[in-house]
Amino acid sequence: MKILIAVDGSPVSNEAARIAERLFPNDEHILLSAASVAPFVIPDPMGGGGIGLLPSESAYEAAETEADNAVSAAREQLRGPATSQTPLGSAGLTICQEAAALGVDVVVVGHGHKNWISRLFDPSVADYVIRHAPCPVLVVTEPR
Amino acid sequence: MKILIAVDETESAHHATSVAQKLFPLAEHIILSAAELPPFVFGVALGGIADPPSDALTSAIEANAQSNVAAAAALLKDGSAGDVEAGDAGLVICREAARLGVDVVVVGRESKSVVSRLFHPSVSDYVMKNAPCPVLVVREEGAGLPTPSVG
Repeated sequence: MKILIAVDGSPVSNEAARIAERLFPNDEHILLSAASVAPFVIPDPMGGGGIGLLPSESAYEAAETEADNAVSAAREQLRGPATSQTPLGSAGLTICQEAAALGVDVVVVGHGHKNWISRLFDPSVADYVIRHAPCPVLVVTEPR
Repeated sequence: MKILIAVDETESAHHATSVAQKLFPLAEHIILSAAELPPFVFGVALGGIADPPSDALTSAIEANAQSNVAAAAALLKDGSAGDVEAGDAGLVICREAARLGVDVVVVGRESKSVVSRLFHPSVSDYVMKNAPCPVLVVREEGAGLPTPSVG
Protein backbone atom coordinates (compact mmCIF):
# COMPACT_ATOMS: atom_id res chain seq x y z
CA MET A 1 0.00 0.00 0.00
CA LYS A 2 1.03 3.60 -0.58
CA ILE A 3 0.79 6.02 2.30
CA LEU A 4 1.07 9.75 1.66
CA ILE A 5 2.13 11.61 4.81
CA ALA A 6 1.54 15.35 4.63
CA VAL A 7 3.89 17.29 6.90
CA ASP A 8 4.69 20.92 7.68
CA GLY A 9 7.30 20.75 10.42
CA SER A 10 4.81 21.25 13.27
CA PRO A 11 4.77 18.89 16.27
CA VAL A 12 1.43 17.47 15.20
CA SER A 13 2.74 16.65 11.74
CA ASN A 14 5.71 14.80 13.25
CA GLU A 15 3.18 12.93 15.34
CA ALA A 16 1.32 12.09 12.11
CA ALA A 17 4.49 10.57 10.67
CA ARG A 18 5.05 8.59 13.86
CA ILE A 19 1.49 7.23 13.77
CA ALA A 20 1.80 6.38 10.08
CA GLU A 21 4.91 4.37 10.84
CA ARG A 22 3.17 2.56 13.69
CA LEU A 23 -0.05 1.76 11.80
CA PHE A 24 1.50 1.04 8.41
CA PRO A 25 5.03 -0.20 9.18
CA ASN A 26 5.49 -2.29 6.05
CA ASP A 27 3.97 0.02 3.49
CA GLU A 28 5.46 2.51 1.09
CA HIS A 29 5.75 5.96 2.65
CA ILE A 30 5.76 9.19 0.70
CA LEU A 31 6.44 12.40 2.59
CA LEU A 32 4.94 15.55 1.16
CA SER A 33 5.48 19.10 2.30
CA ALA A 34 4.04 21.93 0.27
CA ALA A 35 6.28 24.91 -0.35
CA SER A 36 3.70 27.63 0.08
CA VAL A 37 4.51 31.26 -0.46
CA ALA A 38 2.41 34.21 0.63
CA PRO A 39 -0.39 35.00 -1.83
CA PHE A 40 -0.30 38.00 -4.08
CA VAL A 41 -0.48 41.30 -2.30
CA ILE A 42 -3.43 43.37 -3.38
CA PRO A 43 -2.49 46.99 -2.80
CA ASP A 44 -4.94 49.63 -1.71
CA PRO A 45 -6.31 51.22 -4.89
CA MET A 46 -6.42 54.60 -3.17
CA GLY A 47 -2.76 54.36 -2.37
CA GLY A 48 -1.77 54.21 -6.00
CA GLY A 49 0.52 51.32 -5.28
CA GLY A 50 -0.02 49.67 -8.62
CA ILE A 51 -0.63 46.02 -9.23
CA GLY A 52 0.00 43.08 -6.95
CA LEU A 53 3.45 41.76 -6.44
CA LEU A 54 4.69 38.33 -7.23
CA PRO A 55 6.43 36.68 -4.31
CA SER A 56 10.12 37.35 -4.49
CA GLU A 57 12.71 34.79 -5.42
CA SER A 58 13.85 34.66 -1.81
CA ALA A 59 10.30 33.94 -0.65
CA TYR A 60 10.28 30.84 -2.85
CA GLU A 61 13.66 29.79 -1.56
CA ALA A 62 12.58 30.22 2.05
CA ALA A 63 9.42 28.19 1.41
CA GLU A 64 11.41 25.41 -0.21
CA THR A 65 13.90 25.32 2.66
CA GLU A 66 11.03 25.16 5.14
CA ALA A 67 9.44 22.30 3.21
CA ASP A 68 12.75 20.41 3.09
CA ASN A 69 13.17 20.86 6.83
CA ALA A 70 9.65 19.59 7.46
CA VAL A 71 10.39 16.46 5.44
CA SER A 72 13.66 15.89 7.32
CA ALA A 73 11.94 16.20 10.69
CA ALA A 74 9.23 13.74 9.67
CA ARG A 75 11.78 11.33 8.23
CA GLU A 76 13.24 10.89 11.71
CA GLN A 77 9.95 9.32 12.77
CA LEU A 78 10.17 6.66 10.06
CA ARG A 79 12.26 3.53 10.29
CA GLY A 80 12.32 2.67 6.62
CA PRO A 81 13.15 4.71 3.54
CA ALA A 82 10.62 7.19 2.23
CA THR A 83 10.40 9.20 -0.93
CA SER A 84 9.60 12.86 -0.58
CA GLN A 85 8.05 15.70 -2.51
CA THR A 86 8.03 19.43 -1.92
CA PRO A 87 5.70 20.82 -4.57
CA LEU A 88 5.03 24.53 -4.86
CA GLY A 89 1.51 25.49 -3.99
CA SER A 90 -1.07 25.52 -1.26
CA ALA A 91 -0.93 22.57 1.11
CA GLY A 92 -4.48 21.28 0.69
CA LEU A 93 -4.44 21.47 -3.08
CA THR A 94 -1.04 19.83 -3.57
CA ILE A 95 -1.84 17.05 -1.11
CA CYS A 96 -5.03 16.13 -2.98
CA GLN A 97 -3.38 16.41 -6.39
CA GLU A 98 -0.47 14.18 -5.41
CA ALA A 99 -2.77 11.69 -3.70
CA ALA A 100 -4.63 11.35 -6.99
CA ALA A 101 -1.53 11.36 -9.19
CA LEU A 102 0.25 8.72 -7.13
CA GLY A 103 -2.85 6.65 -6.48
CA VAL A 104 -2.20 6.42 -2.75
CA ASP A 105 -4.34 4.31 -0.43
CA VAL A 106 -4.37 6.69 2.54
CA VAL A 107 -3.42 10.28 3.22
CA VAL A 108 -2.18 11.01 6.74
CA VAL A 109 -2.52 14.58 8.02
CA GLY A 110 -2.03 16.27 11.35
CA HIS A 111 -4.83 18.40 12.72
CA GLY A 112 -4.14 21.03 15.36
CA HIS A 113 -6.66 22.16 17.91
CA LYS A 114 -8.07 25.55 17.13
CA ASN A 115 -10.94 27.56 18.40
CA TRP A 116 -13.73 28.29 15.98
CA ILE A 117 -12.71 31.87 15.31
CA SER A 118 -9.20 31.01 14.21
CA ARG A 119 -10.69 28.12 12.24
CA LEU A 120 -12.93 30.58 10.44
CA PHE A 121 -10.03 32.73 9.31
CA ASP A 122 -7.51 29.99 8.80
CA PRO A 123 -9.39 26.85 7.84
CA SER A 124 -7.40 23.76 8.48
CA VAL A 125 -5.63 21.77 5.81
CA ALA A 126 -7.09 18.62 7.31
CA ASP A 127 -10.63 19.89 6.72
CA TYR A 128 -9.81 20.64 3.09
CA VAL A 129 -8.14 17.30 2.53
CA ILE A 130 -11.03 15.35 4.04
CA ARG A 131 -13.41 17.00 1.63
CA HIS A 132 -11.30 16.73 -1.50
CA ALA A 133 -8.90 13.80 -1.24
CA PRO A 134 -9.65 10.86 -3.54
CA CYS A 135 -8.94 8.34 -0.76
CA PRO A 136 -9.50 7.82 2.98
CA VAL A 137 -7.79 10.34 5.25
CA LEU A 138 -6.21 9.49 8.59
CA VAL A 139 -6.46 12.53 10.85
CA VAL A 140 -3.92 12.67 13.66
CA THR A 141 -4.34 15.15 16.49
CA GLU A 142 -1.82 16.30 19.05
CA PRO A 143 -1.20 13.75 21.77
CA ARG A 144 -2.99 14.68 24.98
CA MET B 1 -3.92 -3.38 17.05
CA LYS B 2 -7.54 -2.45 17.80
CA ILE B 3 -9.73 -0.70 15.25
CA LEU B 4 -13.10 0.76 16.22
CA ILE B 5 -15.43 0.99 13.23
CA ALA B 6 -18.36 3.31 13.83
CA VAL B 7 -21.37 2.42 11.68
CA ASP B 8 -24.92 3.50 11.04
CA GLU B 9 -27.34 2.49 8.29
CA THR B 10 -25.75 4.61 5.56
CA GLU B 11 -23.85 3.49 2.50
CA SER B 12 -20.80 5.45 3.67
CA ALA B 13 -20.66 3.33 6.84
CA HIS B 14 -20.58 0.16 4.76
CA HIS B 15 -17.85 1.62 2.60
CA ALA B 16 -15.87 2.66 5.70
CA THR B 17 -16.09 -0.91 6.98
CA SER B 18 -14.69 -2.31 3.74
CA VAL B 19 -11.88 0.24 3.78
CA ALA B 20 -11.03 -0.67 7.38
CA GLN B 21 -10.81 -4.31 6.33
CA LYS B 22 -8.52 -3.43 3.46
CA LEU B 23 -6.19 -1.10 5.38
CA PHE B 24 -6.06 -3.05 8.63
CA PRO B 25 -6.63 -6.67 7.65
CA LEU B 26 -4.82 -8.12 10.65
CA ALA B 27 -6.21 -5.85 13.34
CA GLU B 28 -8.86 -6.64 15.89
CA HIS B 29 -12.08 -5.05 14.62
CA ILE B 30 -14.76 -3.72 16.92
CA ILE B 31 -17.98 -2.51 15.31
CA LEU B 32 -19.89 0.16 17.18
CA SER B 33 -23.32 1.51 16.45
CA ALA B 34 -24.95 4.16 18.60
CA ALA B 35 -28.61 3.79 19.48
CA GLU B 36 -29.60 7.43 19.35
CA LEU B 37 -32.89 8.16 21.04
CA PRO B 38 -34.72 11.30 20.03
CA PRO B 39 -34.26 14.07 22.56
CA PHE B 40 -36.98 14.78 25.06
CA VAL B 41 -39.41 17.40 23.87
CA PHE B 42 -40.34 20.08 26.33
CA GLY B 43 -43.64 21.31 25.00
CA VAL B 44 -44.91 23.00 28.12
CA ALA B 45 -47.10 25.46 26.27
CA LEU B 46 -48.68 22.66 24.29
CA GLY B 47 -49.69 20.59 27.24
CA GLY B 48 -46.84 19.65 29.42
CA ILE B 49 -43.54 17.97 29.24
CA ALA B 50 -43.33 15.23 26.67
CA ASP B 51 -43.01 11.65 27.73
CA PRO B 52 -39.67 9.96 27.47
CA PRO B 53 -39.42 7.66 24.44
CA SER B 54 -41.64 4.63 24.74
CA ASP B 55 -40.21 1.19 25.34
CA ALA B 56 -41.28 0.19 21.85
CA LEU B 57 -39.37 3.06 20.29
CA THR B 58 -36.32 2.38 22.41
CA SER B 59 -36.21 -1.27 21.46
CA ALA B 60 -36.79 -0.46 17.78
CA ILE B 61 -33.84 1.92 17.81
CA GLU B 62 -31.69 -0.65 19.57
CA ALA B 63 -32.70 -3.32 17.07
CA ASN B 64 -31.76 -0.97 14.26
CA ALA B 65 -28.32 -0.40 15.79
CA GLN B 66 -27.88 -4.17 16.18
CA SER B 67 -28.71 -4.71 12.53
CA ASN B 68 -26.19 -2.02 11.54
CA VAL B 69 -23.54 -3.92 13.46
CA ALA B 70 -24.55 -7.21 11.85
CA ALA B 71 -24.44 -5.68 8.36
CA ALA B 72 -20.93 -4.37 8.99
CA ALA B 73 -19.77 -7.65 10.52
CA ALA B 74 -20.82 -9.42 7.32
CA LEU B 75 -18.35 -7.24 5.39
CA LEU B 76 -15.38 -8.26 7.52
CA LYS B 77 -13.46 -11.40 6.67
CA ASP B 78 -12.53 -12.38 10.18
CA GLY B 79 -14.66 -12.22 13.24
CA SER B 80 -15.35 -8.98 14.97
CA ALA B 81 -16.81 -7.79 18.22
CA GLY B 82 -20.06 -5.86 18.12
CA ASP B 83 -20.95 -3.02 20.44
CA VAL B 84 -24.24 -1.13 20.70
CA GLU B 85 -24.34 1.82 23.03
CA ALA B 86 -27.20 4.17 23.75
CA GLY B 87 -26.50 7.82 23.26
CA ASP B 88 -25.35 10.50 20.89
CA ALA B 89 -23.15 8.97 18.18
CA GLY B 90 -20.19 11.35 18.49
CA LEU B 91 -20.10 11.08 22.27
CA VAL B 92 -20.51 7.32 22.28
CA ILE B 93 -17.77 6.79 19.70
CA CYS B 94 -15.22 8.91 21.58
CA ARG B 95 -16.14 7.36 24.92
CA GLU B 96 -15.83 3.80 23.62
CA ALA B 97 -12.58 4.60 21.84
CA ALA B 98 -11.12 5.72 25.16
CA ARG B 99 -12.62 2.87 27.17
CA LEU B 100 -11.42 0.17 24.77
CA GLY B 101 -8.06 1.81 24.16
CA VAL B 102 -8.31 1.51 20.39
CA ASP B 103 -5.55 2.57 18.01
CA VAL B 104 -7.77 4.02 15.29
CA VAL B 105 -11.41 5.02 14.93
CA VAL B 106 -12.90 4.60 11.45
CA VAL B 107 -15.87 6.77 10.50
CA GLY B 108 -17.75 7.27 7.27
CA ARG B 109 -18.57 10.71 6.04
CA GLU B 110 -21.38 11.86 3.81
CA SER B 111 -21.01 14.77 1.47
CA LYS B 112 -23.16 17.62 2.63
CA SER B 113 -23.82 21.15 1.64
CA VAL B 114 -22.56 23.99 3.78
CA VAL B 115 -26.06 24.77 4.99
CA SER B 116 -27.00 21.27 6.04
CA ARG B 117 -23.62 20.94 7.72
CA LEU B 118 -24.42 24.04 9.75
CA PHE B 119 -27.68 22.65 11.05
CA HIS B 120 -26.62 19.07 11.36
CA PRO B 121 -22.88 18.95 11.96
CA SER B 122 -21.34 15.69 11.01
CA VAL B 123 -20.40 12.99 13.44
CA SER B 124 -17.02 12.70 11.73
CA ASP B 125 -16.22 16.35 12.55
CA TYR B 126 -17.04 15.78 16.19
CA VAL B 127 -15.04 12.56 16.39
CA MET B 128 -12.05 14.12 14.63
CA LYS B 129 -11.92 16.85 17.26
CA ASN B 130 -12.63 14.75 20.32
CA ALA B 131 -11.38 11.21 19.82
CA PRO B 132 -8.43 10.13 21.95
CA CYS B 133 -6.73 8.51 18.94
CA PRO B 134 -6.21 9.01 15.19
CA VAL B 135 -9.39 8.99 13.10
CA LEU B 136 -9.70 7.51 9.63
CA VAL B 137 -12.31 9.47 7.71
CA VAL B 138 -13.77 7.58 4.76
CA ARG B 139 -16.00 9.36 2.31
CA GLU B 140 -18.71 7.74 0.27
CA GLU B 141 -17.37 5.64 -2.52
CA GLY B 142 -16.58 7.69 -5.59
CA ALA B 143 -17.66 10.86 -3.88
CA GLY B 144 -16.21 13.61 -6.00
CA LEU B 145 -12.74 12.86 -7.16
CA PRO B 146 -10.69 15.95 -6.67
CA THR B 147 -11.32 18.55 -9.27
CA PRO B 148 -8.70 21.06 -8.29
CA SER B 149 -7.83 23.09 -11.31
CA VAL B 150 -4.69 25.08 -11.57
CA GLY B 151 -4.02 27.47 -14.39
